[in-house]
Amino acid sequence: MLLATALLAAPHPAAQDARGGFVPVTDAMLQKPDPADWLMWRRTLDTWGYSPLDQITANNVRTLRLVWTRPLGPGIQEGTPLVYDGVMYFPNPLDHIQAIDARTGDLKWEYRRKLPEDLNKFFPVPAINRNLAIYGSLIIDTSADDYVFGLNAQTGELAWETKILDYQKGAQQTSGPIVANGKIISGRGCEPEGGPEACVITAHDATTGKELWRTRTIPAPGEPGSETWGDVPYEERLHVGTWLVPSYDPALNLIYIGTSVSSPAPKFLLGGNDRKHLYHNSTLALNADTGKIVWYYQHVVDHWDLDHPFERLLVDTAVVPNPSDVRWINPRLRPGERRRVITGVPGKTGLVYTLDRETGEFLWARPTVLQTVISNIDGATGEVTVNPDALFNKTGDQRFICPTTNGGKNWEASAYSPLTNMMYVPLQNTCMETTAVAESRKNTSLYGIANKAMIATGTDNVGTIFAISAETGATAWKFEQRAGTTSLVATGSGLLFGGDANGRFRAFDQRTGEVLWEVNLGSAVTGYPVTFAVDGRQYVAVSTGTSLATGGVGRLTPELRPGTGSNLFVFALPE
Amino acid sequence: MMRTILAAALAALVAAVGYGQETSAPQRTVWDGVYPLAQADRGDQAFADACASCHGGDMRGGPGVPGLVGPELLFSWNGRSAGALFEQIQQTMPLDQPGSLRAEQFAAIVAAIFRANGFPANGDTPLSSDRAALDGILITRTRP
Repeated sequence: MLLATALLAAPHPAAQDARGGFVPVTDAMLQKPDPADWLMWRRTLDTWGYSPLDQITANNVRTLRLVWTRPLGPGIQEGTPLVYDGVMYFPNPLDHIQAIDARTGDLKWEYRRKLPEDLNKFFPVPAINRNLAIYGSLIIDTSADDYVFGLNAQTGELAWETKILDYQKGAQQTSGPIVANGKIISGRGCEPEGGPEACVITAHDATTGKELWRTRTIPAPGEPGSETWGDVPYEERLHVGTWLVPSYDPALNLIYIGTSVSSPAPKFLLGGNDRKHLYHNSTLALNADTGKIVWYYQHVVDHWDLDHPFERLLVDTAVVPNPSDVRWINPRLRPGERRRVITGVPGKTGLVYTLDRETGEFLWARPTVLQTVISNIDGATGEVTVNPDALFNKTGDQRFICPTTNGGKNWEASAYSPLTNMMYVPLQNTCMETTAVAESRKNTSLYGIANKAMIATGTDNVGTIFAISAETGATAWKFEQRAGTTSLVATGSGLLFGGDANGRFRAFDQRTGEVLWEVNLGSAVTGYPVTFAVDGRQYVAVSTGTSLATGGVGRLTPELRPGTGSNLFVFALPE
Repeated sequence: MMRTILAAALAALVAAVGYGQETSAPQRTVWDGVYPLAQADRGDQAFADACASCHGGDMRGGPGVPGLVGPELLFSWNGRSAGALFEQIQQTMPLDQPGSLRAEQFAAIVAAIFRANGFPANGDTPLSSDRAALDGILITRTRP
């Protein structure tokens, strides 16, 4: 309790200069943020989704009450508030950004980007706008029309914009960037029309917007990995996207980002089922200064649209996988060995993978929800073997696959708590009958498969939260319910906040999974929850709306009929 | 052409007398010309306003969004009725406001989807927005 008082009573050390003005945000502030602030997607560059704030506790969380609410703009809503010095910056759909007084909910400014009217001709879901970044005096985002842009954080005026790609053959910019040592790092989904050149990770100068490097996720002839595509011509290597937000380790100066499936998905339509088609469904570690790929690890050769772009948790921990919980273990691990690891559930299959984040060495992996696509991982090499019964061999082949293209895991983020050394992961129990319907890679829908989704065999519950030890890989507890579960945030008082597809928002005990508080927000909790403090008072912010993922799990539970309103809610303890 | 006109006349008759429950054998298929071009045009406009933001202007779908053209649609709907497709769209779409369009708009969107999939148009008999009438139209991969 003393600690809580100390954390919250301290004046914000950085945000106001001697004249009370706006203090520019530095790399040092991003790499060790003030406990009161939430300065990026998952608050810190290690992507923990953890805040040290501890005023709201297991003892008082039942007294939380609504402080303010605001409706959000139309369109698919998966936004994350960014909070700096008492101001909340919110990414509404369609690049509509608002600055809001974080204590009262009153609007300070808003920016509506003028977008081309024909966006939908070129790609679906341009509205999604998951997160913002802040650097210097700028709020930074990537736009639906494939620019990166900076807004004056005090006025909302456009400071600069830099074109990344031509949206007419471009990319889906559903997620925003992080800032790594003065560089804006961003990934994107890439439409087949853009060819392999649209499938890039980019770095821009965070002050000027000037492009510094771009790295393709698909190798060209003559580059390492090109041979893994077999006889597929370069211009037909498509759609290996990086559509979620990267992580960054300043000490190693490495960016970590995950990739998606190819188009089409079944590899018999590309270079053959025995080829890797790099770098799809991989973790890429990039040198932040050059963009060079330092190492990669491919999680599974994907024939079923089971993307692997999700959050990578960077944790320093003892690595002692327990063989009774962890199915695949590196035999070279020494007892009690500590490692700098990259861990979590990176893909829709729901597997936890733990790698050494300096070298990419495989350390351990385990399944969570039912999955039928991976039959083995060689602990010594990390080489993944696909279940041969899951492979398509020709057009018309039908397979029973778990999970669905909706996951397992999806973009709803897990949280990591240093208090427990556990990761908390929202995962869905799903399976699908899927058929390879494309006749060739030139006559295909986006993925070349057609699916019928269902709840996983052996359960009536779709939603789960797994609490898994980063040290041992053991499941500490599991929460299960009918409605699908959504993003989580952990706090310094041992609480875990998270929502679901039926509008419920809850506080759990990190150690036990006990539900300590619950409220019905009326619509699916689709935004990423955060917690922050202003003038010594801790707040919890969360938003509702519609999303493809919650819509997908919602169709598996037709008796649950939440509303579809997009709203932002902010809670705090009574004053 | 004569076959199309006859089929349309038959359809109108079936609809008028209330036949065509899903349990009875459908009398027509989507290859018989079940919508006029003007209705598909209206459907394209409604689709652009209400559906394209997720399914794409070309109906191809995307990550997490089913495609509505080509093999993906035909795999999922081959052998099922136009009424079942209409009902699924009407009850679940648009995602953020299910059922928020008028029944005639949903029927026009179904007509637009049929045109995008290469099913032929007829002269001037609109695709009905009555579920029972639509149950009399079978979606088939190939022309019977």
